Amino acid sequence: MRPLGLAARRAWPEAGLLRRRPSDQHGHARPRTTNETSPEGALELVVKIVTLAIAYFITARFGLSLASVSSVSAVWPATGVAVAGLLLLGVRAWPGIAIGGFLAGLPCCGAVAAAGVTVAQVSAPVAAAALLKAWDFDAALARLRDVLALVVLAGAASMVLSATIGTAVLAARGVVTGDDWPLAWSSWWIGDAMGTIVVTPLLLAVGTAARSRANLLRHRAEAVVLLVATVLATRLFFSGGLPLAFLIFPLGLWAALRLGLLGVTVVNALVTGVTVWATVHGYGPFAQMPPARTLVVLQSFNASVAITSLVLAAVTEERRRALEEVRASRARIVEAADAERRRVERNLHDGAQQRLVSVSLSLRLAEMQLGSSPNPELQTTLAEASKELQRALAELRELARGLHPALLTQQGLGAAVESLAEQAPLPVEVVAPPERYPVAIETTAYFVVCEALANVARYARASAVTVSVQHADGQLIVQVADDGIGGADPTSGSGLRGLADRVAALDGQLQISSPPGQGTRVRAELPCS
Amino acid sequence: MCDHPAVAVTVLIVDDHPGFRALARMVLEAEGYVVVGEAADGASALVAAATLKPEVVLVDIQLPDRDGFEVAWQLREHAAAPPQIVLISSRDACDYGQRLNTCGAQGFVCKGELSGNALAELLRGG
Repeated sequence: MRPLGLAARRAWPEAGLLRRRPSDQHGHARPRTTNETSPEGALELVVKIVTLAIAYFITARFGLSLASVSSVSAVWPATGVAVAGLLLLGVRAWPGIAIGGFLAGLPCCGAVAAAGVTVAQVSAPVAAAALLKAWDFDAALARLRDVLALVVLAGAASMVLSATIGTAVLAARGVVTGDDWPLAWSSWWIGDAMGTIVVTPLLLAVGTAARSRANLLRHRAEAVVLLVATVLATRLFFSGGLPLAFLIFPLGLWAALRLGLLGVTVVNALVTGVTVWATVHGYGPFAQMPPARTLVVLQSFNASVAITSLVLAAVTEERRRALEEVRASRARIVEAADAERRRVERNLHDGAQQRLVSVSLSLRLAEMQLGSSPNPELQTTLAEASKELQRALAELRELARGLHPALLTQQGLGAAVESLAEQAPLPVEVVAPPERYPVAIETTAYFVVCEALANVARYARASAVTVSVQHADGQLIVQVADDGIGGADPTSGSGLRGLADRVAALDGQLQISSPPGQGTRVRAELPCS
Repeated sequence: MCDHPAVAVTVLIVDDHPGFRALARMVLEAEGYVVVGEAADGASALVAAATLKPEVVLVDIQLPDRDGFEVAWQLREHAAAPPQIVLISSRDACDYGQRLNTCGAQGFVCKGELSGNALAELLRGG
């Protein structure tokens, strides 16, 4: 049985060890900084200490109630509560650990032993919190480095302190003899480390990861199935004759991939709880081993399940955030490119086109001034130059329109699509409302229609085309359908691929249906609330 | 050379580019039009039109204070004897869509193609 004890009184300058950021983008809870010299601050600190004391007391009594597989408890969830408490409430709440631990241990150990061991129970979580702070730990556990820090710095390293102090106190009290000391030390260390690896993430997930909670709620039916399956499977694998314990791993991976941190931590807690219960009651593959091995193997198994799924959850979250950033970055690139096209179009209009217009009028003026000149060659030269200039101006206007049509900016998608239809070499029926949409949506939709109509003119051998623009259910749906020969290959040529990339940059979808002989339909769905 | 049908038709040129206004004036005057005034923006165009009472107003679509469509509409709505309005731009007509047909203007001429003949043809067509 694990004795509990009292903590040394010491002040700690920090209010909390959660990584603080000016703008938290992931919905993590952040501790409030408290001026504890004010009455409100002092009251808040008292509430935190009492809360932590109650939580520690309950979990310590629970830990004591578990049957032991050695001279100390195999599982010590109270340490997980202590570490999470210091991370969420601030290190100044440490007296809560001392009070809860001392009161829990008092009935079974006596005041002196309880006081001595409490030093161990307080110092290790405080050390863990300090190491995590130095590591720039984020309690959301959404990064691999945070999971590894929790496992290595808080779980493995810091708990050396509690195991060493705690077993030294027990040895001094004569509870542990020299021969038992290695087993007692390792049991203590493993119990505390497992509490940190299993319980702390669970509380941090509940306390900080708003996104994880939302994810779990969104998949609540799946979560219920997974949790029930976890309990049943763990119970089954630990009660049957076959050594199938490893089959629990897929459940942890399932939670990590689908349910996020909160799902993983709940599964880990269930697995640890059931396996410890089963082993203690003589069930499962580890129960038949010698006691010294049982603890090590059982908790190694539980640590493997917990660490694997925590790491996978963190990596999955990192990948999700990286993908989100890539998507946002791609959208920004497309928007920047569109803005640049608009700028070039304006510059062409305001600069080169105006100058060429002036040259055109000057040539016309020169032609008129030469009206009575006897030099017909010069007149011809001027007339040719004027015609060439008109062609250059027309090409420049075409180029500017291709960069970004002024009509789209000024009058919106409906008018721009109507204009495209009027310029098409075949009849185009347009159904497009006059509403305005966000610039990026209008531009992408326009270029979808533009490219699709150009393809119809080039390849489709169609007699008619229909263009429809529809805004429904938070989506702008743009469709171009012709009655041509079909058989278009979306993978050939860069035009459709470029369109698909452009649509995807806005989280939209581009579908191309072109069965041979049945026309082609290009359909873009763009999120547009 | 100047086979213009318009003799002594009075014109007001509205454009924010002084260089274009000067050249347009020279071209039109060389073809028999009488340019009675110039304006650099929509507000001064309305004042000049009310004062000078031109028969034709050439209005650039992109003006600094308002667009040419609005100027055309105001000229049509508020003048007792509205002038004929011809919109001009260095862009194409297709860059402006149906607004060209609904703003009350007589027609549209690309700036680069502006000439007395083009203007006369447009006015005859109206």
